[in-house]
Amino acid sequence: MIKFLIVVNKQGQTRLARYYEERRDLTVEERSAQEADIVRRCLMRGEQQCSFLEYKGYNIAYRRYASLFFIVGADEDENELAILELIHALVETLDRFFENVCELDIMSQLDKAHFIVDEMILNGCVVETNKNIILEPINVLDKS
Amino acid sequence: MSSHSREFMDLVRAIGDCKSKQEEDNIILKEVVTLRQRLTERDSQQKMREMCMRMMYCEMLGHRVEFGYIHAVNMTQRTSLSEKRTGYLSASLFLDSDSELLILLVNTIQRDLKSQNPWEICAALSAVTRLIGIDTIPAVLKLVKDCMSHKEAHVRKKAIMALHRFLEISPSAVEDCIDVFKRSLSDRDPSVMGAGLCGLLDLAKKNPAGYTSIVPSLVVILKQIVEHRLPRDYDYHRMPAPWLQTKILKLLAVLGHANQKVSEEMYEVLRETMARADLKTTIGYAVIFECIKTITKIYPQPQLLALAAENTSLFISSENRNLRYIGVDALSAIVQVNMDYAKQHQMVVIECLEDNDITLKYKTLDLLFRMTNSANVEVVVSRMTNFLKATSDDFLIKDLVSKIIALAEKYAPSNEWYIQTMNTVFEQGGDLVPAEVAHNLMRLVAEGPSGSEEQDNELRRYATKSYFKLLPKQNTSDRLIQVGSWSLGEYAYLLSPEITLNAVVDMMCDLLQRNYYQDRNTKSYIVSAITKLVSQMSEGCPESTRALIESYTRARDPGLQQRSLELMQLMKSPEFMRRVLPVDASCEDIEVEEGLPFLDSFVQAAVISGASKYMSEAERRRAFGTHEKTAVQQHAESKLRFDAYEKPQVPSAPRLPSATTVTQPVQQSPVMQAAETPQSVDMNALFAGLSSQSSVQSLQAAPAAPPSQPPSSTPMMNLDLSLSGEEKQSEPALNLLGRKDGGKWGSGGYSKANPAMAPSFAPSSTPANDIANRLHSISASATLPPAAAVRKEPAVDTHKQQLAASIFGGLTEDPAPRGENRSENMLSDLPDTSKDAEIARRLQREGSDFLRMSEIMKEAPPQAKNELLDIFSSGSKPEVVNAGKQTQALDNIFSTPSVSKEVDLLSMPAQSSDLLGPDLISTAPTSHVDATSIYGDVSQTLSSIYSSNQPASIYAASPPVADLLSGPPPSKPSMFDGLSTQPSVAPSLPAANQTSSSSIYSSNLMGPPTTTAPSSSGLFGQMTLAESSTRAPAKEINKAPSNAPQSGPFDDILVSKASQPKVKTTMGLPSDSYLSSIHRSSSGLEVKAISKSTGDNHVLLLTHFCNLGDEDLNVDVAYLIPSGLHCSYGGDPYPAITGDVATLPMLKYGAAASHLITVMETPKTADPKNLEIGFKLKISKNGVPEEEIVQVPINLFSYALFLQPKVMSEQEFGASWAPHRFLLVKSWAGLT
Repeated sequence: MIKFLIVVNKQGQTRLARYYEERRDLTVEERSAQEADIVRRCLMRGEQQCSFLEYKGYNIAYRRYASLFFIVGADEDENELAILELIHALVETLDRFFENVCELDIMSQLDKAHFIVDEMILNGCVVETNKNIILEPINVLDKS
Repeated sequence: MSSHSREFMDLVRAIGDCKSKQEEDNIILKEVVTLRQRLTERDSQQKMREMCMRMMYCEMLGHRVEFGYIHAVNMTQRTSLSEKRTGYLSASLFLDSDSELLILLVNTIQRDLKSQNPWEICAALSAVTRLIGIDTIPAVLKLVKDCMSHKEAHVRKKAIMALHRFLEISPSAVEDCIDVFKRSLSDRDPSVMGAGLCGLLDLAKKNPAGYTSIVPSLVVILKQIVEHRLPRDYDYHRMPAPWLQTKILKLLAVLGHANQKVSEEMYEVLRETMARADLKTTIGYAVIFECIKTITKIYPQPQLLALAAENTSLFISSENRNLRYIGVDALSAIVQVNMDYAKQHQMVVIECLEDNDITLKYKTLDLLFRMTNSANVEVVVSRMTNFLKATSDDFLIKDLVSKIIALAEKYAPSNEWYIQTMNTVFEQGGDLVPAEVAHNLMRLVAEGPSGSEEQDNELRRYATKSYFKLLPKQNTSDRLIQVGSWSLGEYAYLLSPEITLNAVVDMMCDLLQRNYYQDRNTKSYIVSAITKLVSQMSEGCPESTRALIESYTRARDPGLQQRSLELMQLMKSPEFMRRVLPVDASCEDIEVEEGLPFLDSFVQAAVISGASKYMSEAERRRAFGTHEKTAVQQHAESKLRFDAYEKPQVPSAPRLPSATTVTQPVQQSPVMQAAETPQSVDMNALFAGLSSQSSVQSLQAAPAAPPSQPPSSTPMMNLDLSLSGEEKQSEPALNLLGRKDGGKWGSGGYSKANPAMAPSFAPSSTPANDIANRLHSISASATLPPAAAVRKEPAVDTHKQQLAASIFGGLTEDPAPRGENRSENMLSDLPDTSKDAEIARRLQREGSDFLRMSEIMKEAPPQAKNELLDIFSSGSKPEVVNAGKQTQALDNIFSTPSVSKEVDLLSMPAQSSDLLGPDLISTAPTSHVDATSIYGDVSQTLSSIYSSNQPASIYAASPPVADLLSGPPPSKPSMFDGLSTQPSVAPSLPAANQTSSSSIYSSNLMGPPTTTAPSSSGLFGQMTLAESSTRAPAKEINKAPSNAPQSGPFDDILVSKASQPKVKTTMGLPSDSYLSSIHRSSSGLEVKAISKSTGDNHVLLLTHFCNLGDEDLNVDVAYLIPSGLHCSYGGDPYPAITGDVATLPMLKYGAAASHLITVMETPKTADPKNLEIGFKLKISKNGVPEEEIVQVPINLFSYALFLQPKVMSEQEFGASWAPHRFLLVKSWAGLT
């Protein structure tokens, strides 16, 4: 089970956050603080170190793209390597949709970015990785 | 790309340009204000999509925008798909499945699920997966199921994920459509099939056998995928649908686990999947890793395992850090099946271990943990402890500590190593180390593992020495201090002459002066150790130590205060102390006899003089069955009473007063029967108040008291014992809980199980493994020793307690060890007679507490015997009454639902922590000469329970509630006359009795490990003492110092006893005095106000101020009396108040003061229930004009707060208020 996906820049500012546990588990404020904490830990790790870390019982896999960290927290059942690649698949999909995605794209079209994530992950499960299928409903939106 | 307004883009840019979190916060805070404003404007509707995104930003960046949620919900109703989807998105981001707004949303979802536009259905289904909760499933279930036959694959995929969500939150709701998941395997669309796998995985985990039939399908699908038969756009980095592959592999692992037949079906496809995985891509490795996990999980096949091991080498020898990390993980999986594969990689493993990457290192330690055996345990554990020293991550520390402990207990090569390792764990792990570990270690030291005394002593010497060196270090963890203190206290003598006891005591004194924040019991451990050491010092206690201990007799922590007071008392008689605290006697057994034959003659005498015979449970049921009332009735009757109070009546017949006037049904327990003797009536009046009055309770230790308890009140008193036994639990006590099976150290018990042991102490002398068995058997017959019952969780927080209370209240499939709690709670639910029966049952079991005394009686020389009997006879009458009174009090408590909850809480360890309660402690030095104290009456226990967490200094320093009774206001003599004569027996007691009673008291209270095992004090000390005091020649006993007070609250009472005639009167009911108000100011001043109606339109109001803060306070109190209300202030011993403002004497920390106000008349016009007296507090600290003005309303006629648990919730009063509740109950009891 994937527990959350967050996109945080290296200043610790959240750019996108999706949680697959009930919202009541953590308050909005706690989540914000936790996101900053996680990215701080990611930043502390060197380039030479692996892309995984353990955080409060979550298995965290992260990938850095320029100034943005894509961070996924999962339980121990999840294949960490597959999660790492899922992040890349997400970035590839965003890249295809936004054509050379950058931080500002995600910020100005936050809803679209969310839609893409929603197409790929539901209930904490990977449901779709076929980029054509992922982008189909979102392209429909733009046409309407 | 859609166009955005400038306003929105400005916001985005501003957020993007932020350089710090602070800056970002400021922008968002401003934005929240703007949004609140903008959302009310009319044109906002056009820009609602942007508004929603702006709200999303605010929430994402940590600021709630609850005011805007409704707009998001409304937006789902828009016709534009884009707006609708954004609406659903923001709703699912903002809301939870239990949000109130969801009701509004369900309607829209229903409509959209029926839409002609598949994209609208998809949008709604996305929201369903996020927002629909258990309650709303039925509203959409059918529509979602219908979607499963939709022609659009997108819709089917989302629908099956919606069903997956339902399956997660409420499996029963979707029981009839589980087939949908199986059928999805044959869906023509690979994505729908993939989505179905999620649900199948969950289902298979719960019931693997039920889904083995899908294995062939899965194998075929996987084969198709790896053979590239899916559309090309499912490829990722040239790997065909890799996430589908991993999902199928996971499912295969679950289904093939421990099932050879099923496993055989998948061997071939696993081999093929591994072979076809692309090793040039990370995702290829991910699939291989999943294959390895599956291969190690299913029924093993050697060739496949070899293949998996071969592939693991690819990972672990890779230069890629991520692959290496995964390789360690894979190796962990493989060594579960075959250890040999790890050997070929040992160098790489060591390399990973040396790596500076913490994640990798930690993962490797996990691998080592799985590979540990008795040969490598030392290396592995030393690696782990090194890691422990380097990390500061609590989560990792906790995990690692549990691993180290598991290994050490399983494979320890030597005792010294074990102790050393544990010391390191305590040092590094701090309070993250579970308490049981400490107890196990203490037990190891106490029992001695070898069986040879010499070797055991060697070990003890080793341990003690290591603690002597370790403890003085700075920043030592509390756990280590506790273990070390205990060991030093018990075994420091083994170190002499190398290290003298003096040196140890000096060191302990240094420790005592440090601050401990993790566990408030730590200092108690230290004081207990000092106590034991001092008893062994031939030259007596050094003056500096005495002074230090003296200073702790005013400690805020009741446990610490109690121990300090005990030590101070014991030091007065060194010889006595030595006998109380024998050296190295923590594992001694005690023989007791269960029949209590020594009491037979006393019982007969009591019966002859008019006491009722003891009735068995069945007899009582027959006798009182007709009075049975339902719990519902009781509940109704215990509600607020509005009728006028009855005047106290002089009884014409010897009848228990409570029986005539009680509002709640009274349990006719045998205790009350006993009370209904002619003599006892006035005694009842005399002692009713006394029973819960702390100052008179003096030295009686509830658990020690039973021996001299008259048999007729035995049951009730034994209930005491059980309660106080519980209380002791969370005191620093050795928890000798048996450890997990297989532990090298956890198996043996250290003493024979003694079935005759008093239940509340039983666990202490019961072998650890035995405890669990006992728990089962005992709880089955509802006779669980409470101490054992609560043992599992030494520190349960209030929340848990409440949870427990609610669970036990439901009395369903409770685990057996909680039996005591449950039965406690059940008391409140049961109808009267069964409650009675329940109590009686428990009491009978507790009766064995008397055994100790019976032993003493048998062995005692005639003279001592007589003295003991003296105690019985002199104390019996008041005691009987007291017991009766208390029965009533207990009845009231039990029959009042909310209070019974309190009682239930009490049975939980955390609350009941501070064993006997501070009043006991605080009064000990002032009044040790009370016969009734020996008898450990019920009230004692009640008070000790209720006051358990209350800083005892309040009592010690002030004339609290109890003084209301002893110092009657002139206007109300009738009410208090009886009381003022109370402890008539006290001065008549011979000195020997005083001593023995005090000795029972001290021994019983001694030492942190009071209730639990390896301790020379506790039960054992008590026993020893009791014997010694009875066996000793009278003259020697007489020499023992009498602690009789020369002055104090008793004086008044004694004098008035002489001068005033006894007045036969019955007391009013407990229900006519109320704790009206309680308040705690921020400067630490606690104010309680207790009102009591006197039955003739007079109301007594006692205000009690106590400084619980850290600094001295000056307090001015101004009472605000409503017009028409006439009041008089004061009344001995309370100060008279003139004018409107009364200045309290300077309240030092812990000190208290009280005011008494008599409200003479209530205006006829006013509704007495709404009358309020207020008071203002002006508080200044240290003369600094830090003022605080508080107004506390007192509703004179309001019901006690503790009867309304809601009012007394933790949220309102904070956790620190928990103890006060008990005080309240106690005060309340004291007033009645």
